[in-house]
Amino acid sequence: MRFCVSLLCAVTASWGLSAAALSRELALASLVPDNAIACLTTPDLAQLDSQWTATGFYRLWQDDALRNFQTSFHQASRLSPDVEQSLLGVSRQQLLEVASGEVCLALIPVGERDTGFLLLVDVSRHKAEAAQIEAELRLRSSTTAGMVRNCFLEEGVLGITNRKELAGEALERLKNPSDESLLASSAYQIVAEQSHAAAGSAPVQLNWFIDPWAFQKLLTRASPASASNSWNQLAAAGFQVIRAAGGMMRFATTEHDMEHHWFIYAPGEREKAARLLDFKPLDAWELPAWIPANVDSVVEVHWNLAGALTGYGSLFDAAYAEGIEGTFEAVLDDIYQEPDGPQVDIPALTKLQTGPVLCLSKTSADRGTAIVYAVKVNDEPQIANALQRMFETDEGVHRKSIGKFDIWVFAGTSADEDESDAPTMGPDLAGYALCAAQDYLYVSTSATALEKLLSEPMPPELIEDKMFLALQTQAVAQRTMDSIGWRVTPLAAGLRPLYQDLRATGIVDLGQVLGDASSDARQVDFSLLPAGEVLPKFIGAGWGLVDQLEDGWLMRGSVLKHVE
Amino acid sequence: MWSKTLSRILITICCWLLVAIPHSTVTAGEPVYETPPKLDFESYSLPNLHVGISTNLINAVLASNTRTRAPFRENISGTTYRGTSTTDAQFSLRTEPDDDGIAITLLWNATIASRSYSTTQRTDVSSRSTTRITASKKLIRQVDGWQVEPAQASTTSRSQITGVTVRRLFGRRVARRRAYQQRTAVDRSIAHRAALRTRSEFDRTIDVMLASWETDFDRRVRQPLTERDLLPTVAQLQSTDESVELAFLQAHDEQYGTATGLVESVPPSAGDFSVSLHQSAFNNFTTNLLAGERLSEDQLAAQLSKHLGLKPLELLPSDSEKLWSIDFYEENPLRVEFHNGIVIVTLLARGFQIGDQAIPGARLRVAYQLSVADSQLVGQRQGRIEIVPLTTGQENDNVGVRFQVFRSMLRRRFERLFPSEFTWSQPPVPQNWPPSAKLHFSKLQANDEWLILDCRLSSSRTEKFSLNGTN
Repeated sequence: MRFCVSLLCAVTASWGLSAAALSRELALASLVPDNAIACLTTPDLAQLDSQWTATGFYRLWQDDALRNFQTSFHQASRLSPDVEQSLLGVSRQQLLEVASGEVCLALIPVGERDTGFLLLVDVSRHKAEAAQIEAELRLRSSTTAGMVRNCFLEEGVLGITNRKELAGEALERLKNPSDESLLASSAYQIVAEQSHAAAGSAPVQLNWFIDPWAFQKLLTRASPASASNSWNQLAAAGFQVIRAAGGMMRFATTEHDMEHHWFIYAPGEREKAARLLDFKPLDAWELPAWIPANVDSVVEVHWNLAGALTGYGSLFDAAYAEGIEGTFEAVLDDIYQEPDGPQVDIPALTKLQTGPVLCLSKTSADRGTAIVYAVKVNDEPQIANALQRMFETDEGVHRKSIGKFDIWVFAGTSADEDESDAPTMGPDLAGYALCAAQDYLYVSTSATALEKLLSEPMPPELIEDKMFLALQTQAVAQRTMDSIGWRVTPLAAGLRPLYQDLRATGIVDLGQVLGDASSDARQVDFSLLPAGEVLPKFIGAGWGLVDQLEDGWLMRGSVLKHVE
Repeated sequence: MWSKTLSRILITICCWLLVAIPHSTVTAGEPVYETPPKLDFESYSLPNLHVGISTNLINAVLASNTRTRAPFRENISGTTYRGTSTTDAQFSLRTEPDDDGIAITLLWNATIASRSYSTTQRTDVSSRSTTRITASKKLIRQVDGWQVEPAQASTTSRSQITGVTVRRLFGRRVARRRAYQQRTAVDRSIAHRAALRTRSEFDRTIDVMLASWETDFDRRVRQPLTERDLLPTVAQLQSTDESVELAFLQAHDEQYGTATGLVESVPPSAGDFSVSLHQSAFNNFTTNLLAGERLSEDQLAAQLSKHLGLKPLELLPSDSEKLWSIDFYEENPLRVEFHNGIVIVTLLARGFQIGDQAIPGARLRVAYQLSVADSQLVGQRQGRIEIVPLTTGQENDNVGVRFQVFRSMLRRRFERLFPSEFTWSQPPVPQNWPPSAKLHFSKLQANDEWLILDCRLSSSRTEKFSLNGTN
């Protein structure tokens, strides 16, 4: 179980969202301070364990293909090489034996730069066993240098932490309940309310809550390879309007391997680059016939590109123009007005959008993930003409004719290019392709994928696929007036790209994630994960919905049971 | 003090020689000017940089009037004279006609007024005297070094006895008469001693000054320029009664200078300070300085400061994380053209970098119309900064959207360096430039590949420096 939870944390972390738990019914979150970076809770550990082990995800974890990674993870996640206790201070078996129900794990900032973890376990029905664990930990802490674990056993709650001050604070909250706890915080409560309303009354097994910005900083320390300024830039450019995220998960239900309801809490007005998040309710729920049946996932979001362009301008100004506002507008003006420029009115082009943005993805072992974005437009020739003006004299973009369509393909990275050279300003578009065809503007991360999409004969259509129809039926049944997008993922719940990203994360110091000092012994190598082809063997199809609410976005989704 | 002052002005002159117009030139977006046809260059070695400095300006910088007061004790013919003296001295110089060098005569005139007391044979004599010294020393700077002539000095001295006290009973009248009789001999002796000392001191001071100046010039100018093959060849030095003129060739063996000499192209300048810069001088200099180099903003500012004495504030980075750098092209990375009152600057860069992001290479051209109005140099940019891809094929090709974005960003950055208009109220001068030598712009021409800039002294002292005047 410990491994599974940790894996889930790592997976979600690699998406940039990561783990933590929450639920308004759970009392243990009241012992966690309100500035927690992440919190993961289960109302019933035994139930979570039994449900989780019934899922395809668990079978994947048990598969031989993950043996090397399991070994790496097992070694890195132990408190010391000679014990089976995890970094959390207890072994999985011990935890299952003493937990009387609720368990809560939180990552909490300590001071300006440090972090610690706090594991809280309801042991009200197993106090004797818990006392034994406490005694063992105290003995080990007194004899072992380095990985010290502090613990307490009070009022039926076993607490374990790597920071003495966190234990003291939890005990204080236990004795004198405080309003300044995570459970009482507005962000936690709103996230819990929205998730709970979406999840319904059936019991959930896992709750999570996260402060995405703080968690990203923590992850950056634990995995230098993932370090990036982009998060800081996004935060500074207005995206800090997103305050928190959290959700509830059920495993191994009658119909699904997993049901997930979660909420992104973003109160207040979208400003600066956050205006990129400009969505409209989705009115039609029919996908076009040209989508081939062999895609891994299809996402349709009614993204208002004209509005988003304004938001992108703020991001551009922040990233490339030393924060001088209005630069992007001037650049757009130059693109349109300059006598020897492309003379394309890009803001006007965005107004040609007549439908939602489609996003098709397919992951292959050798080529990675190809994504094709498609936007329906009402003047395809004008878009085609604009593409020609924008790229025909660009030596880094070449024209390729596919039937009656012209594809504009961005050159890839040159083999003789010095790796030490700085990347060219702007987004990396190497290998991207654009095309105006079939009343759509296509933008693809792979020219090959776009060529296949536009080539004759057309492959089997997705909308004729039985699995798709089943997924569509489930999604449409859940839609509301606030729905701005939906997702159908016929293959492996669309997790392959995220899985590939996780593999690319490389080395992660698990100890640092929990707030311990850096140590080679705590490093787990995610590149040992097997290739993504293993996922479809265990993980079924999925679907999802996005509703835009007043103070954020509600996500609902399910992963179907895998059919052998 | 002489050596420091002289070094200062000479270094300033060198800066002017080597720089001329710093970051003022430019080009246009719309073709509001026409680039003239390229002249048919041939390899030659005509000077491409001329500098003229008026004697008035040199005196305005160097000349000085001083007054000193000091006690003295002197033994003349066995008699000890004690007292105090006040020296009023004027230092100046004049230039003299010389076709092969710069002939300068340093002039030092002094009037020493003293009151003295002496006692001999129980006779106390008090007197006052006036000694006038006129000294000169001729220096000739030739291409191969200094030629220094011994100092000359002529002196006159005249004294007047203001009191005689004889402290004995007998021979008082004789003693008094003897005191008056010795006066002429004493005056002669004083004049003779003053002349000797002046010549000696003048020679010694100038020797020390020239040695110090050569060392300083080597360290600060000649050596850094030589290391980068930037030292211009001195082609001609000459002087007249009114000015000194220097001509240089800024070009090494494989570079071009001018096709036509200065005299054939433009009328001689008449300012107190004039620079006639052929575009080849600037272009050769920048080629040697910048070709193939990748310089960040602060490095470029340091280079300009080191070699040209310029400190352009526009190059100071505003954001340390977004430091700009330019990867200069291997050939003609920065060149200027002077035609029809327009200065065109062309920058060729293999690429640019902003922080950790790169912008592809580009050719930037900017044109300025330069003029002098109300004693100020005014530059008005002609159109926008023209930016085209370095690898552009057809001249009239439209650029793609990506390059358009790049050039919009480049233009915004370079508009800080090349504003739509700039005004210089006075030419750049070294620190501690004396107010009496303040210059203003008087004439500017940019024609036939030559840029001619004249400056005049701002004060009304256009008359020759008067040796007897007070400063």
